[in-house]
Amino acid sequence: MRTRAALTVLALGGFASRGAAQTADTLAAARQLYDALSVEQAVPILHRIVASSWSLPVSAAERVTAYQYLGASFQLLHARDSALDAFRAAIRADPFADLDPQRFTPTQVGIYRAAQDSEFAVGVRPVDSVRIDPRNEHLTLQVLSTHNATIQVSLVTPDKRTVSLYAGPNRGLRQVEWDVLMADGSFAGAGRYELRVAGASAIVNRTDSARVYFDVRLEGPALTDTLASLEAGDQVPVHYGSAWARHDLLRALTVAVGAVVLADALPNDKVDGSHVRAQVVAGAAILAAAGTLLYRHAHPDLGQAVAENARRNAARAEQNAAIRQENATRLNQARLIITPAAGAAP
Amino acid sequence: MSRALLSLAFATGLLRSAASAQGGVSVSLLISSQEHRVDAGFGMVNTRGWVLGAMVGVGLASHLRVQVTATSGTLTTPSNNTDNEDVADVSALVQWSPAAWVSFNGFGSARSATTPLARQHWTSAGLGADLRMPLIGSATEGFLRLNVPLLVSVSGLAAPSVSVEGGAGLRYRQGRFLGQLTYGLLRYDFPPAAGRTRLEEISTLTIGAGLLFGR
Repeated sequence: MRTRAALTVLALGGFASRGAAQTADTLAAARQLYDALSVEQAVPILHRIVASSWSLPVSAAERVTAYQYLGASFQLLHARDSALDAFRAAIRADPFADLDPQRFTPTQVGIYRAAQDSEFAVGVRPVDSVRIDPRNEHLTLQVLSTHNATIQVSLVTPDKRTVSLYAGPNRGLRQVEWDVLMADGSFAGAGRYELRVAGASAIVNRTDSARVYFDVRLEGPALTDTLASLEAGDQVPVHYGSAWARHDLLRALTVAVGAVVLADALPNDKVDGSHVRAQVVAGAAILAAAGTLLYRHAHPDLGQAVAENARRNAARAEQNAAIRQENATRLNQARLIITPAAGAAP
Repeated sequence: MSRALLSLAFATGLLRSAASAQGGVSVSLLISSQEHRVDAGFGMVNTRGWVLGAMVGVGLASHLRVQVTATSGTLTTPSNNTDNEDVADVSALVQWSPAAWVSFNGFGSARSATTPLARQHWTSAGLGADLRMPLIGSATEGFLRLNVPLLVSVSGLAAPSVSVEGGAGLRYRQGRFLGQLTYGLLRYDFPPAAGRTRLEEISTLTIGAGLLFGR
């Protein structure tokens, strides 16, 4: 009796003075009261910890523990519905949380299972820091649904591509293996990844989703990016436009007029003779202009441009093949470093 | 005789452009219709005829080309009072093309015109430029030319007071084949001597065909 009183005093007295440690101390005191079967005294303490009026910092694990002991206490007080509510709150706070059968009674565990069946949630465990050989090792990811459900597990890559890892029925914890390959078979690149799980309950009409982030970093020789495909600005036009025809016509007429003007203006008038030679060239220039227009109408493609573009594309493909070959060699020595991350932005 | 020399000189001057825009080595055969008109103060005399020749062009750098041309032929006259003249010409042209639309020319030539009575020698050197205009992509090129012979020496005559050469034409290339059609006009006005002014004009129409090697 004296012990209970001391624990109560410890739990209620001065908890506002020591911050985060005070929450842990208070929770420890409540657990001791529970262990001493002083559940009537433990319940108000646990209530205070999970109440919105509790001004001290409470970690997620502490909140889950408080709800679990609160539910267990209610069970011992034969308040099954209250116990169920407390366990649901624990599940909502952390879907991965469970009751230890060595510490809690089968009845309490049974009520917890009932809470899991009635409270639907999915969860994804933060990724552990790990070093992976991409050639033969996988990254193990853990997801969970609190009861029977259909879930989808996927990764969103730094360049916003989605890789599906699992889609199908699930109950409880599931380990998903990722071979660090993209959908196209290439190795995962460096950057921030988002691991998503979305689920739809098979028991209640509810859906839920969760996500965590992790960073992938390449350790070893840096890989070289392949060159992007040639865009329009990188290639020469392959079709004659109307401007080309106008310019050709103008140039040809310039030659024709130039020949006639030369024959007329350049000679000394006293020895000026026939201009037929100039007129022949002028006529040929006009015929060349007409021939140009007809030829381009019949052959709208610039043959040399098409060949030049083909040559550029082939050169680009050859460069990329060499880069891929070099990257494959480098990847044999590379390792992927996986570290958990806090959010979407790097 | 002088008319024959002038005719040859002018013909070869215009023929120098046969492969001006090409790289490698070009070899072309030329045939030119020429008319030589002279007024030495005694009324106008004209001769006309065909001149044959060959031209070799060599690309020395991406924008620099040298051409050597040799031509020869006979110009005849319809008048019984004037002699025919045999003309021959050797000339060299250096063309620098800093841009696709323009070439700057430097040239020199040695010419002779022979009649039954005399042989006259001409030498000249000068500068000029071509305005170049591509047609049908790069297969055909039109051009306008203005050359100025700055140094002219004519045996038996004073140096001309006015000397200018104009031209217009088309050049064609398809693979190794080269072709050209060129109109040219050469004008020489000599200073008055003994109260008479000598005027000369040569107009030409030249057709050339050749092959390009080494490119």
